[in-house]
Amino acid sequence: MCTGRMDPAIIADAFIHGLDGLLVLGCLFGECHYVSGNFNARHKINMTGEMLAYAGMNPGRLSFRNLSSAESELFVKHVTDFSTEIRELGPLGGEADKVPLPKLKENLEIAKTALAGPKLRWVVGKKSVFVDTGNKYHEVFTEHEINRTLSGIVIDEMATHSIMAALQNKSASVKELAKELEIPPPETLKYVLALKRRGFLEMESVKDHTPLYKYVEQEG
Amino acid sequence: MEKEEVRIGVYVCKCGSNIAGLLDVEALAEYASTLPNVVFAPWNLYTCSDVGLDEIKKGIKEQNLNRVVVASCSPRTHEPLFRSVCGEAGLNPYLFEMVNIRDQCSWVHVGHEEDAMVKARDLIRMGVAKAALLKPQEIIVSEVEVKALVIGSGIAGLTAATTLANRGFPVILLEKEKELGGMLRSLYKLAPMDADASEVINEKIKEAEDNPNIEIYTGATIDKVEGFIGKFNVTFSANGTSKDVRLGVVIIATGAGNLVPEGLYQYDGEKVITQWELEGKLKSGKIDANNVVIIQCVGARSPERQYCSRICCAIGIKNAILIKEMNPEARVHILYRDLMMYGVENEDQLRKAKELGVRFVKYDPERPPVVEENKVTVFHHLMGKELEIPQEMVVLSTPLVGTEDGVKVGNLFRAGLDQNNFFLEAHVKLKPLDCATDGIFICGSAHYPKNVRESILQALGAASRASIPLSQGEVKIEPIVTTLVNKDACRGCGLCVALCPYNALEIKETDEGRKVNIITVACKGCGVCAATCFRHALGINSFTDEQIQAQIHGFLAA
Amino acid sequence: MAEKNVLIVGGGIAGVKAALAQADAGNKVFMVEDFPSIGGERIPQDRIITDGDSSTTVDLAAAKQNKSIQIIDSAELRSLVGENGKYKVKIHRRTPRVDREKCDDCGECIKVCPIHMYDDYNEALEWRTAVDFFNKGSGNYNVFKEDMPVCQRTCPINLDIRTYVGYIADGKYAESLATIRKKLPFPLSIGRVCPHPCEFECNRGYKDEPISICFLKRFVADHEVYNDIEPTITVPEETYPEKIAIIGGGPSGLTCAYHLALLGYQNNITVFEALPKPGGMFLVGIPEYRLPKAILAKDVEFVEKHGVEIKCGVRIGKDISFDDIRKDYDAVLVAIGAHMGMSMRVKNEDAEGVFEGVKFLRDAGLGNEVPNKGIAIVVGGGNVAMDVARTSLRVGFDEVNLLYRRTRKEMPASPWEVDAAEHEGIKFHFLVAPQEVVVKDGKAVGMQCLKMELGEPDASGRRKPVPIEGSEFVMDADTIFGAIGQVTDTSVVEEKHGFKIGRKFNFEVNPKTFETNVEGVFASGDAATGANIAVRACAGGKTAAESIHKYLRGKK
Repeated sequence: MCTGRMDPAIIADAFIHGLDGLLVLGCLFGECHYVSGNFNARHKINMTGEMLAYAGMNPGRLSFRNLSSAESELFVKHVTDFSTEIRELGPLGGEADKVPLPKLKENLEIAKTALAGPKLRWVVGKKSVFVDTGNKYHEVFTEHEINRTLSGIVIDEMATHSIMAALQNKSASVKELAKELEIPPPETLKYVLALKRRGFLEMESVKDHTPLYKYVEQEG
Repeated sequence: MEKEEVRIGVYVCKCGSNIAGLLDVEALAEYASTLPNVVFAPWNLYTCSDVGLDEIKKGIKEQNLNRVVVASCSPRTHEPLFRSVCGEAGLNPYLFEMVNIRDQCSWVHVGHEEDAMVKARDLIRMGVAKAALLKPQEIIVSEVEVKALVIGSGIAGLTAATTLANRGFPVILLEKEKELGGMLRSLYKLAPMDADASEVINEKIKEAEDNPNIEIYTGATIDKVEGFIGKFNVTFSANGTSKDVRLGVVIIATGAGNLVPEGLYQYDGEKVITQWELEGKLKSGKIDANNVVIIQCVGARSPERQYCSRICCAIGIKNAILIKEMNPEARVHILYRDLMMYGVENEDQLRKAKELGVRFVKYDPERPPVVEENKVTVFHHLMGKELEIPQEMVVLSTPLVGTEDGVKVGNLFRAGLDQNNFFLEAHVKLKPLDCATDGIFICGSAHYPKNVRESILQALGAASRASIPLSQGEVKIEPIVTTLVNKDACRGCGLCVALCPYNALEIKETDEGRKVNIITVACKGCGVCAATCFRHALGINSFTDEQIQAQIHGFLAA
Repeated sequence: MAEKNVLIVGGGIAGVKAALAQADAGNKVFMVEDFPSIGGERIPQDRIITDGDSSTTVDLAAAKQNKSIQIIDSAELRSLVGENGKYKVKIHRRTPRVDREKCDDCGECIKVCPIHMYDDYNEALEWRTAVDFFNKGSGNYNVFKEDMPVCQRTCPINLDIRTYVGYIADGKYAESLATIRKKLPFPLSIGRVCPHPCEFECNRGYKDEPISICFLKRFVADHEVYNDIEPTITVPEETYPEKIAIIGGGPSGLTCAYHLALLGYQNNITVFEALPKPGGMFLVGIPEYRLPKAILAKDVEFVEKHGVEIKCGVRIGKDISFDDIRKDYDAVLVAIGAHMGMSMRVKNEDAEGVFEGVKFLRDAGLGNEVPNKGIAIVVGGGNVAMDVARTSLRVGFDEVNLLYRRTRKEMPASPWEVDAAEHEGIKFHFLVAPQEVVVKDGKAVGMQCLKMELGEPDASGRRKPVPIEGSEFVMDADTIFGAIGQVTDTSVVEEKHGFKIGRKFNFEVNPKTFETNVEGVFASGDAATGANIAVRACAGGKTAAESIHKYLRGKK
């Protein structure tokens, strides 16, 4: 088992179930016991941190640090420091977090679905390949470029997953969704149409010239 | 299959006073008995003793336990024992879970008894939560092609090859140069036994050449490597022809190179030479210098090469003695930073050098010696002043360095290298002869600068390690590996294949389309693939998403 | 009847019908369609085709299934030559980045595609993903790959700006510099002197300020110099035997030499430079305070290390004849720049004390003696005029006056140069046109000028200055510099060589290949384009190198 096994969705799940802080300690870069697993872990945890922070959690609650197994003093220091930091932040959903409970947990649920979903996992999984050897056409991307793309996806994914969650059990118009989810209506419209195009939503009916959308159960 | 009732037994160990000295083990056993699915929770003085082990067996039989949790010491040392006991009692060994309350509680939290108890309860609760979801696993067995590949024919490679061959295993020996023998071919005498280097190596070469079990290829380069322990497929070319061989194990003995100290201490290869070049001069008996200055640690223990090459001190002193013995009038100075003259014989060498009149001057790397025409200036830190030493020849002791060929071989076999391009062992203490990839072993200076004796020792060790799978004819692999838990979900996209550090995954065309195929023998169970798969099609045995989540929920349930 | 090959351009309804007819007649049909799917503008199926009107879909399906019809979509016709019965066509197919053989229309890709972009089909009302179907149900997926970013497109040499700036953000300086050097061998110099047209186009500028593309280049190049990092030199191991002469060791000539070395001509490239040191306008056109000579020398050294021989102090037409060069070398590049000042076309311009601004800069740059006393007048409003004026102050003139016919707004010089000049104390005189050099004892003592006002815009879009009647006045001066433009001194070649010389005394070239009308002779940089910015000269040099390579390989 490696820090690379850290599944972003499981991290989100832990916070939902009452975790206040998570410190991931991995091998030094270049000395990974599993060759390259810690690089993967770094990409995943950075992305997860960004997602959870966007959902309203204090980013200090998730940390990835590195040491060798011979550095016992450093281990103690990391653990002591992190415990102090988390004690100062207090329990999840308190003043240290941007969004209070219970809204924070609702957001974290959305974040968890997004983190379990294909898009973020795909991009973050491809990150090390893109940065090292490039894509199939040998176009190498800078880390900066991928991080910028990832930041955009975090915002998109939170929006689209809240829309899909809101439309699980009911149908609604773009206007209603925009109001409920506090996303500007023009953006909401674009998200809804894009989701429809990709087969996640469908138009259920038209009420007073306003189309109502609902979620389409996905196969597999 | 009908879902059977989960019946967990938790055995809490006192480990004499190791655990019970700090933790209230009886209270922990009591606490364990209150956890969900736990039907039996005794404590033992030593769970690993015969009495303790019998109690586990008894519990499985009498209490009908179908999961066993032992809260004691490190799984690294004791998990195999407890697992086999479960197996003996008829329970699948992988329905066993271990909780470490010694290393993680009683040892590290001395003086914090209360906190340690809280943590021990947390750990036991987590172990129990996971144990409830454990599934039986079967050990994976894979056949081994009884043939070994040795890369490099220096003293290490030759020793490893002949050792394996003498045990009756067929060996393929590859050498990139035209001749066998490696570095020893160009050395003069070997300390401390004053043996002739060429004699030593020639004897070894003859032994290898005469051995019918060894196939030798010189002028060889490796082109392609596929497969895993027991079933390596290596393509190499030697003298213009390409050859494809199937092998069970590989020993890497590619050696090291000599640093050419361009730009250091006026190095010119004529008046200022390296130890390597001095060996050549000694061999031809041409030393016409009366004043010789030897400078140690040239290009080593520096910002760009931080390591100590270990063998240069002994070489420097050996050559100083040789010069003195050839020409007792010669004045020989050794300028050093620290002396690595470990072991009884080396100590004797040092003493002998001093007796012969070799002068030792310690220099400070902040104020290194300065080589000029006819003299070397060095700051003597005890006298606190500059010394001017006349010189007719300066010898620089340079470190052994990793080679480009080594990097090439390392990349082909996915064997890790350190920042200095030396091969990395799987674990410094527990697996010093193995590479991280199973079935690949290292010996000689490819691993780290070594003298002849150490190279031979390591080669013998590597040959011995390599002969285990060869003689067993099969390898047993822990089933803690990736499995395709949801074949329908797999899209055959190959994301996991790109990320796997061990080449353990491949995409195969099946009747149901492109699907991932897991080469379980090569898998190390790191779990990167499972944590990345966007279809959640992959899982790790005994570390499934559900089991990990159950552990976390168990922890948070307090 | 023997089977014929028929080409149908356009896969719309008419094209499909024609294709089917030709296939029925027993011909082999190739149908070229610009869109990723046939059917033309008829799409989308789910909107227009109703149940009762399915004739077109039948055609489409038939065309797709017909073994005699080969559909080449996402493609366009590039050329067509020949005559009836034996046409030869060149078809360019854009890479769809989707392996159509393997695609089974599962649609998973558009679910995971992380890029969202405005869907121009729906007039940007919707977002689409970068990978998308063109026509739902057609199974034709394609990947939209962004064209060159706007900065890269604006850069004359098309530097991969996004990547090198991104690498700097990642802290990967060596990779960043290597990215720049894939195209440009002068990051130290260009990073200092480029007027960076890219930055004016940078999208970030709409938000706050553009990315400092130029100075980031300087930063990453300086990082190497100041940390004593040895630049890596990689040239192909195998070399071609042809010898190439490059006349002019300036930005364009040296860039061409560099790229020729990268293409495999190292150690067979000779650069002839008339001046005592290499660098061309970098050396003698740009003053020390903008580009220190020692920094330029680093860039030049980098080029030299690629196996480029630079012979300085050799003037073609004087030290070696152009004919000898032609004889000894397989290809020649003329990159002699534009080092001759343009005439101000005023009376008494030949009087003592009147100088060409470029000559003054050249002498100052080479450390020769230059006029330096009293009052100077500089005529012109471009960057060269700024260089002349600011250098004048530095060599010792007490007062420098700059005359320009229009206003500050119309000045072609970079605004930061104008600001700096003003800050240093140069006196600007706008809407002033020189009329006549006032001469006393054969020596210039002042300039008679005329005041102007702005009239209607002219061809360049700038308002044309119109003289104000009777506004003549005289401005005193000891030295007068004309800096109103430079032209090429084409005297390296003679009339008998037959070169076409353009309006601006430049060598006329094919703008795509930089070939002159004389076979085997190429021209680039200011000598081909007329006076322009350095990076454009470099870009020309790079293109010329590629053309020379094609020319030499094509000859084989």
